[in-house]
Amino acid sequence: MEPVREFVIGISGESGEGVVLAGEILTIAAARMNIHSSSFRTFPAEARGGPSVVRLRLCRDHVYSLGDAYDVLIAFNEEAYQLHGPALGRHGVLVVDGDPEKPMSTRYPELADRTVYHIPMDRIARKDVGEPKTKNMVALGATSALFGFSREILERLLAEKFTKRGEKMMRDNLNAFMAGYDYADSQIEKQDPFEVEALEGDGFFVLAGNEAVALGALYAGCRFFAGYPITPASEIMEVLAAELPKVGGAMVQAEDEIASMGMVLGGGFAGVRSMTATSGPGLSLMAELIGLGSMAEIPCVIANVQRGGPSTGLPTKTEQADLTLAIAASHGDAPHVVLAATTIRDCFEIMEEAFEIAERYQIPVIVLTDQALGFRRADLPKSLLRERTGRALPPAPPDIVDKARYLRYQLTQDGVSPRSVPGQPGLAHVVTGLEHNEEGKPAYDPKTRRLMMEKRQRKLEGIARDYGSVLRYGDPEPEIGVIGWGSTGGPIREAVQMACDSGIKAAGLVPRLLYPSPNHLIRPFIESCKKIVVIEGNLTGQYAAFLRSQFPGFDPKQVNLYDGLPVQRGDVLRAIQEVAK
Amino acid sequence: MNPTAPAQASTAERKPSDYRSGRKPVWCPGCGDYGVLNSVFSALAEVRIDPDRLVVVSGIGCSSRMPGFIKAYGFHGAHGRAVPVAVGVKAANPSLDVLLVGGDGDAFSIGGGHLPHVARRNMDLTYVVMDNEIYGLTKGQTSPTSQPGTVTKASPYGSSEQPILPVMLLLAYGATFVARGYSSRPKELAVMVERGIRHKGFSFIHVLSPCLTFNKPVNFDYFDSKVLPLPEDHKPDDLFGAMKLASDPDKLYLGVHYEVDRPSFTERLYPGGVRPDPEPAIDTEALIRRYS
Repeated sequence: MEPVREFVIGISGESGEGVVLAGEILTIAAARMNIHSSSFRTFPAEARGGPSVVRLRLCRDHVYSLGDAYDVLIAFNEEAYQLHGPALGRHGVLVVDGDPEKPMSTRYPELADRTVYHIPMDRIARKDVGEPKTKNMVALGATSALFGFSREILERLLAEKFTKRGEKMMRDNLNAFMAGYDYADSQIEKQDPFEVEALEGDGFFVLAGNEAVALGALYAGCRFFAGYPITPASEIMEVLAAELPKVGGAMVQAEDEIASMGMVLGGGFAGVRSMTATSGPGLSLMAELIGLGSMAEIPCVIANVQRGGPSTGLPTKTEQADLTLAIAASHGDAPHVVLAATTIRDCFEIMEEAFEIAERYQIPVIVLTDQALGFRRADLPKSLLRERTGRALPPAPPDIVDKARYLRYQLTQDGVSPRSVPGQPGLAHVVTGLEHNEEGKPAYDPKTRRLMMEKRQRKLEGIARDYGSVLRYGDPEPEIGVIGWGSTGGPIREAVQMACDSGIKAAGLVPRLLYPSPNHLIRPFIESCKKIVVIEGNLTGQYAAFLRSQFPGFDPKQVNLYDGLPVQRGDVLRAIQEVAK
Repeated sequence: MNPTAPAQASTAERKPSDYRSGRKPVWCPGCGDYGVLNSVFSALAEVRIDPDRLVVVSGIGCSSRMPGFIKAYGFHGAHGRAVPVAVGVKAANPSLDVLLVGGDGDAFSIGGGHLPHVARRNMDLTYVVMDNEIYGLTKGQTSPTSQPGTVTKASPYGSSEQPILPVMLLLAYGATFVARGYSSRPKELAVMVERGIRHKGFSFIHVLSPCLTFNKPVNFDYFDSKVLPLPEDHKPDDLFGAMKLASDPDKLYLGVHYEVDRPSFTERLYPGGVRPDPEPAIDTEALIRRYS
């Protein structure tokens, strides 16, 4: 049988059974074997109880989505199979906790022509290891043996993982892993083609989107973070809470999201690259102060990891429904910027752009990601970090000859005025949320009002021009165009390729700068396609509506998914095929 | 603000007038805030604060216009959010001196949720709250410190709510410096502000500062009849004693009710209370190990 090197594993069980840990360890093991991966975990909103699943896609090249059906499903119990079995592919393999003497296929006729490996995970953990909680390690051992993961690498990884948890914990987990491995190795006759193979290289490191946002900020020179705990964004705060003090930075856990945003304005005003991270409910609370940042022209970055809304909505699930809020974000006409990260790597890289735009244009920048990106893990090359110093120079004082006549809000062609920060001698000024004149003094006369409104708004032109970034995939002369944003970017990239491979002339466009809209880059795409689909993870088609406002007469087909699950490449492919009919 | 690690206090001698921005205050004639502003000028000069390293932060309200009248960096922000902005300035760059100013509505109503947290963090900030027991900028509505029965357009039948006791509140929140001053006693107030600035951690100064336009009954005569000095035997580290004094709504004691020494936020955050210079480099290899 020809081995299949690229496949999708699902690991499922009750929350609390160690499903997530097993998945994380397997992901890192793959990275050490130079195997690319994309993985995702879902879990219930409650801290404990309920079903939990990790999806791990393994490939020989970097991948941009989670793939389609499971090729291999590891079920820690029968209920997990009942729940996730429907997502198992037609030629998929089931590895399940159970007695080989009582095969699952007698109870589940759909398993009759599939490969099922019964591993007595629970029994081995209880009887052989003597610690029922190590069931996940038994499963990990069996999985490693069955699908070609390096025993050596995993044993070393487990030793590293458990060394701080005490000797008994380490021994039990290692024993469980080896018992699972040995059982599968000696008792199971492999009948499936799925088997990974170690490749050459110096390995990858693996980040979830939230970790990538945090490290991206760190390497972009962010040295102040204020935030309030919220699912699914808290990991950004947690990573920076650990890392910022090491580099002379500071993190404050604020009393609420309004305070977080206020603190970030304070940090930005003080001349330190500052950010907060939140999710929809928090962004709603921050709206007023984002307007203050726009009015007082203070650099700041807000990462918003979208979850299902409105209200408390679906805290642990994904959606792309904060776009309209992000673009509006304040009362009044308050120019600011909205970026959307498209992949895990982009979560890292986009932070550099966000801080650069914020500082150069003295403007609040919202970075949209979502739970689907925040919790998805992917491999990244080590060079991504190694080629950066991660240091931002403190803002240089503006070159002002006659300091007595320094105008903080001087009217300029590009709307950007000379900015000094506290500590710079002779350039003290007062910023205010009131309308103000060039000096910064409150002023309400109609002329000043008009000039200042226009000055602030002008900054958007430069931003759209200089930072207008879109990703384009597929056929150069497409029949069908797909437009999406944020976490749908990866699935669009892969689905467009699959459509092209099947003979459909398809192309994809994924803008990263959503507002101000880089219309000069979007228009040629729209004009080049015969039919256009806008696919996004919300009910009403927020980006489609925005594009309609930008391009009169533009009338795309809308595909909207709002079930809390990530948009998959299969969803995109179906949309393309539907339009191609 | 921490006298043991002052990147802030310069050695050059300063005059109160050095801190005048030249902008004319927008307050009504007779407003108590004029006296407070003068006390702030005196205190800044006494500590010899470098105006280029000073940030005055406020929210919205009549008294919140104060940053514009002080020659320093200033942040006149959003209603109720002076505290978070000041926390951000100080946490991001602890070598700056940060002075918070504002009124009772800004501090105790819309911004009231921030007070317990800035106090328990013991952030190195001095907060001067000018209390006129009314919303003046919006032309006279009751504030959290208005007396019961206060008649305004929004409370035509007289306010039925009890006023909060600001000094009591801050004592309960764990503030490490709590004082009360009076705008018609500017010298005494200046010393209080100066002590607050020198205090390590969070210092709160409740200032009686009447609004003669929109709260006519609560005028200088009214406060004159209620203020009195702290009892001579009151010890500033006696929390329960301070609370007892603060709990009497009819006696407004003037002076430093409470002062204790506790590590400040920036002291715990940065060794020596200042950001390391040069900034330590990111340990890239350690990060790669952590995630691989």
